[in-house]
Amino acid sequence: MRRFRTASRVPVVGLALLLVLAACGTDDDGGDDPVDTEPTEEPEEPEEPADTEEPAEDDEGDGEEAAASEIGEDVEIDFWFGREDFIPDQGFDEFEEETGITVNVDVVPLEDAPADFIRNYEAGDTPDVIQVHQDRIYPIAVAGALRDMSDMWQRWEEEDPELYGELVDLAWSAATIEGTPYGVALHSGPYWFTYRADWYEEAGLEEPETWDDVLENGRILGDRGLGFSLGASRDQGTGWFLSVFSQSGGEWSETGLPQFDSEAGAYALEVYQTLAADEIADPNFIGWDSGEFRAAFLGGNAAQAQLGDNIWPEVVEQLDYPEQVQGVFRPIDRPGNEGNGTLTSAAWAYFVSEQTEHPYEVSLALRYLAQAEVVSTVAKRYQPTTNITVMESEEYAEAKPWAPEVLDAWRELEPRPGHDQFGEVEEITHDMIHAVLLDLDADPAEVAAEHQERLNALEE
Amino acid sequence: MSEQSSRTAGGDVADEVGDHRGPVRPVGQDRGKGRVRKKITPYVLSTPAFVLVVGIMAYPIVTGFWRSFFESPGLLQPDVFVGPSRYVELFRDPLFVDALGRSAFLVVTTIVIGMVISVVYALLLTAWGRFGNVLRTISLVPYLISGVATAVIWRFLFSPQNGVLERMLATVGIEGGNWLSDPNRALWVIVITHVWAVSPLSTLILYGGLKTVPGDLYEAASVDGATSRQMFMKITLPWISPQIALSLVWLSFASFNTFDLILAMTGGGPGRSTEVVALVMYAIAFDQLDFNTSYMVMVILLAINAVFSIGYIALIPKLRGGS
Repeated sequence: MRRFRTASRVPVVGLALLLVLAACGTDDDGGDDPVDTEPTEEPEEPEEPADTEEPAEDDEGDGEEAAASEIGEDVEIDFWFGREDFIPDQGFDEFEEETGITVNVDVVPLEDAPADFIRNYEAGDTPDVIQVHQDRIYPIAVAGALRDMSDMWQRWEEEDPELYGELVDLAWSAATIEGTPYGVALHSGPYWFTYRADWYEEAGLEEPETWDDVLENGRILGDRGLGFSLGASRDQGTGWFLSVFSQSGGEWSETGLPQFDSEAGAYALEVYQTLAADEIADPNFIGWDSGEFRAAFLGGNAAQAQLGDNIWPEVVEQLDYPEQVQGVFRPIDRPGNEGNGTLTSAAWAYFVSEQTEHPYEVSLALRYLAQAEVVSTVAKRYQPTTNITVMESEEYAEAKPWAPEVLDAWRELEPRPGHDQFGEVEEITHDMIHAVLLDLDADPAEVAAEHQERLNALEE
Repeated sequence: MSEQSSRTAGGDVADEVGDHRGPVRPVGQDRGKGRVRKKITPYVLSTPAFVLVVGIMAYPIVTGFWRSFFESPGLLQPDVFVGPSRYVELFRDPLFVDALGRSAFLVVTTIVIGMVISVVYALLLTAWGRFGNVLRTISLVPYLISGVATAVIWRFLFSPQNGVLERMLATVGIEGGNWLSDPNRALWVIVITHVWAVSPLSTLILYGGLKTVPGDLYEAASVDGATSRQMFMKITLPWISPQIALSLVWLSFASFNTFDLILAMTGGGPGRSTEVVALVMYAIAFDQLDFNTSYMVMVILLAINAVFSIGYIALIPKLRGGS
């Protein structure tokens, strides 16, 4: 009887425990769990960055001392990296030792980060820093969930002008939305037009100047494999099409809406349509994703492709550079528009949450990541960096032999614009591409106009 | 004389023997407290599991249902209550209605093809004895493979260049052509792949039902001169009608909710020819970041699944008649 009474208490206790755990939930403040609540010198929002001239002379010395004195005690910041590959080889160990700031690192895939961030934001528990495709952050920035980092970047420029100056314009412009800087992009990468140099040489072909040349070269080389390898599956981004669009002179509105109802838009669609109609690309490329079309080129089955810089290390593992594989590191134009195309670049920027309580410490962590010896560990094996000293270094050229050729284009890169209804824009862009691929007789200009109406309706 | 011998005739033995134990009651008659404890104990013991199920399943459903009546003027803006009017708007959206139609197509074809395959296979497993036992284990493999892995396998099988299907057709002089890039064929490829993935569980459900059919019914029917077909229609099917209902619930539920397989195989393309409601819900939530609208789609999916499930369970077992 007593045993039974005791046993019946177990589920009741278990239920009570569950209720207690549910009630505890999460604190309002992310991972910050200060043991001592002394108001030490923690200027959470430095108020006079413009007026102070503390680090005016002897930049590094005084700047560092000023920085050290302003770091709070027992500070922890949470970092979301979009890929494990973006985490530097040495991690944050050195940074933590020098500053006493603890950095909690998590990997939240780039594609999932926006939705996860929103859920965390509504719960009052965002990470301090989120890494995401710069064109997908627009809705979140416009909603006011990111912190204006103007003051922190001004301090950076004052306290460490040398490091600040090492970053190309793209680092700042890719993380600036509607004129407000919300972070910094330490890695960026356009798609390079990549081709089989040995096949070109054997066929007596020149490097293409326009996309018409690309198509013609593809037809000629089609007997050796695919004339051009690409994919248009709905489950991948539209970056490759937008790359053709921007190189053809395509433009975006001030709000970030692509203007497909234009000569550039119609031309880009026509290029895709011709790839299908003339069987220059694989007949199934409408359903190919990036893995498939990259594999086709890497496997030696395609003459040309658009490949990201991060894929090139794998390319040169399979094919000799520059004897077998080469790239065109400048925009490939639309006939009649030569010299006016632009290479837009994807960027995987670090954005700072509006809920952060340690913006200065966060900025220090980002400065750490920007340092040449840190960011180069990622750039040499993965995505290129916006730190130009790394891109110009011999060490980088040794790791990526094609690097010296891309420098001119690198300095001119522009970030690919985003829109605050990015998801719908991408859906409509997919619809437009598939419309010309499924109906090879469709007029690209009409298709572009039709879908431009749908895009414009998003802003009504 | 002993105590016992002094007992008066018809007297109460318990009054004389062991007074400290109280009156003896007939077996099975509990005391008041014991009866209450017996009644509440099952509920108490199942409460933690109930709380977990409610917390994990019911809470998101109820929350989603409630939030589907709200509209957000912008991301992270306070929601505004608009009531059920947005449901009407959703059903006026041709993209959603088309997706619903494709989902319905997927469900109907999966049920028809899947149920036929499952019944036949279950009958074979029952008839094959020991060999059937081995096959029964192997037949679960498709169900155990993830949707993404299934998609990769079947994309390869349907590859127009090196796919198994293309090579098989080539041996008989037929050119298969494009499967996944043809909007008229892609959904059928999804159907075939999906049936392959979900039929094993349906088969096992039916197999379990077949094992319960009393053998003497068949003997009696055989004596009465019933044919195999008559025995199947009049004995087997009615007897396993509860399992048929359960299989139908599984097949339609799995079909309405299928997402990972389609996303990995076609992404909803070519065009939007394989875009089903689950894919639309995902895109609305995670690409467009419009969670309130995605809740509406969730509620609609849930309602459809519930109606179908209730219908199957309520109607199909009636075939058994008098059971």
